[in-house]
Amino acid sequence: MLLLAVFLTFATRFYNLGIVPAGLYLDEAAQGYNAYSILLTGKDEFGKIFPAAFRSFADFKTPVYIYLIVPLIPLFGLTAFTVRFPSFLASVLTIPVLFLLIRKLIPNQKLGLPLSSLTVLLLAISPWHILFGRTNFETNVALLFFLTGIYLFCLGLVKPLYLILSGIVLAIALPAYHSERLLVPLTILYFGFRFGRKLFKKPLLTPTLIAIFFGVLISLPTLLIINTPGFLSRVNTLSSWLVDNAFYLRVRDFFSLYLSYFSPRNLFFLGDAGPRSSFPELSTFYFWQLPFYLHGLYLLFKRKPLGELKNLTVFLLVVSPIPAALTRDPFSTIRALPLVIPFTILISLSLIQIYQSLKTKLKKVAALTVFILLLFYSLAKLYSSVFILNEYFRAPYWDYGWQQISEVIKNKTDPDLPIIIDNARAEPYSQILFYTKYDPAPYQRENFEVPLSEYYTNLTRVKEKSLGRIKTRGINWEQDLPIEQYFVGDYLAISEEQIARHHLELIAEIKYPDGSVAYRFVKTRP
Amino acid sequence: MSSLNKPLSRLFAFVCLSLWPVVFLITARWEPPVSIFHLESENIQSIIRKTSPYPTAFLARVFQNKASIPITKFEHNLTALLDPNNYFFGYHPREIFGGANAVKFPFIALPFFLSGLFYLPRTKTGKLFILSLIGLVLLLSLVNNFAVYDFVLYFPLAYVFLLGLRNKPSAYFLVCLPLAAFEFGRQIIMLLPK
Repeated sequence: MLLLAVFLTFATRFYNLGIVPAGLYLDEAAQGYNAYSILLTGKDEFGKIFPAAFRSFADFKTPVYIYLIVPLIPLFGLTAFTVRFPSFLASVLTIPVLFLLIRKLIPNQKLGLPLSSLTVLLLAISPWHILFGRTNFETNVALLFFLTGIYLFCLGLVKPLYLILSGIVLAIALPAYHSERLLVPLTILYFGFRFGRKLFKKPLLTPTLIAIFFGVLISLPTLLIINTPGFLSRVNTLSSWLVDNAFYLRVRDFFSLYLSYFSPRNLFFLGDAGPRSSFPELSTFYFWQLPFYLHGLYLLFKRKPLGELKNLTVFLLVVSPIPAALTRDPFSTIRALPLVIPFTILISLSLIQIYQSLKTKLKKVAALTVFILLLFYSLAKLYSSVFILNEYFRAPYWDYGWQQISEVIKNKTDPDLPIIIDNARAEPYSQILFYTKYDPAPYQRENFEVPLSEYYTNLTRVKEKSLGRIKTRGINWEQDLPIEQYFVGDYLAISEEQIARHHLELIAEIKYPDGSVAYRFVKTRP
Repeated sequence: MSSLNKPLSRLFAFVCLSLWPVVFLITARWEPPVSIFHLESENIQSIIRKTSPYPTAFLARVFQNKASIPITKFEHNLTALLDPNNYFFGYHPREIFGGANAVKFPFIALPFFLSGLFYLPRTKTGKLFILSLIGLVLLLSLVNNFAVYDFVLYFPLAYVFLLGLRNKPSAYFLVCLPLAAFEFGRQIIMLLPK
């Protein structure tokens, strides 16, 4: 079953990786280009040497994912495949790590093997986990480090050397995603509370202290910027705690958001409302898993021989939604990704309990047949949702079209004429940098935003960017029309009426998969 | 239900359990039940729109067909009826567009419901009660406008809540009662016509 899980994980995440979802969202392009810039110059797009958080769009992206892309660029080039590869790899590696973790935590061997195998099989086909395994989201990489750190810690209780490795891995998980900045310290507190007596006595005392030392050492770059507006920018822009009104309403709002992460309506029907953090007609779990989720919740508190897995599952259930519930977005699957682990364990627990309670062989065969049919049904739903509906209806949300625009720039334009790319409704400069593989050194020189001494503290943004002859800014028809140049914009910026009225030459029209116009590329006729 | 003998817990139970009936009296309107099998033209139009991306007509028929309409409605209704945010936060933070989105119990009552659910299977008629509750929820899920009729769940849920009040120290109610009363007043004021 483990092999089947690994195969399904590989198949569902690797097929058309880099092509599906079509397009490359601006954050993905920005991460890819910053990695490219680090590779060539040792600096990010703003000229900062090896930053601890990437300023990009002044939302300060977490650094681990970007540094993971860097060594991949010489291997695979600067492509959508490359920027999504770390997420894919993390997704695949999570399977054996989770398998080993569950095996380690359950003393009951009769339950341990089936539960660990079924859990990873269900995780392999989980829409929640698949989405973040096919796209560039730091949360998946952070989850892998987080789980690996926990697993190494469990090993470390027997073989002390692993404690040091656990400290190192958890220290990498800490800056890997915003949620882990809260989850990792809470997990360390939990470990301290649960195993404190053992950890601070021989023979674990020395490895524990070394693990703490390495953990703090690796976290130093993050700790040094922890009070800067840059580090806190995500908290400030997303938090509902800091901006809303009365205390009572804040508490009430927090509880409603927290509870929403356990809501069957969100988990099995609605899913995430974000068009990039969900697939059409697919929730975070399959609807058929709903009764097993409820039953699993009941079993978790009733069933005895779950060993340490019970404590860890309860801990993850309680703690994982907290970072997400502190933000204003309802049901954010990105921020609450660690929840996929305890929920999948609950569903597996229920399925195994039901299967083991069946008395006759005939009933067991029938149950297995139904389960296999459900597996096929789930894969069919995935195919329809991920590869058909998502591609057709959600291409605009994935910033589809900028690769084609970059090809037009390379192949169909006069290299001496300037190009203005309208940025009224989008910020496409990172995609243009990405697809044209623009040299980072001149870009860093020509695009000043803030002094490097204020990199983490000054959140001022400059939205007009200069990429040689390409400028990203709003089109000023009165001033720009008399100059011979190219305009690029969406169907609102450059409408058919404007083309006719201003006698513009249509160079290219990029269309979304549903046939509607994404962008128009025109030339002025002064 | 020994703790209900204490006046504080009785008052707390009264405040928590009064909210839904009062909300029901304020918002109740009669509508004939509409089955989920009743197909509307916009449902069918939506299905037709979604068939176009499929490479073959066969695949389009497999994934997008009329049968999926009642199934989706059933899934929507069932998950809404099982949603704790429906009962304690009026579906907040994901309210139903055009729905009443009324809070049915003060959110401070939630721990007592969970406690009641935990004790429920241990009672004499617990399993029968759970089966009846499941049956009721499944039946309501077959009704499109289930929100008009979901008040029938008040009585079994009230029983679960009262079960959860058992053996709780008075100090709990001392803390919870003001919050419940505040939430009660807030919800009623919000529902009253402006």
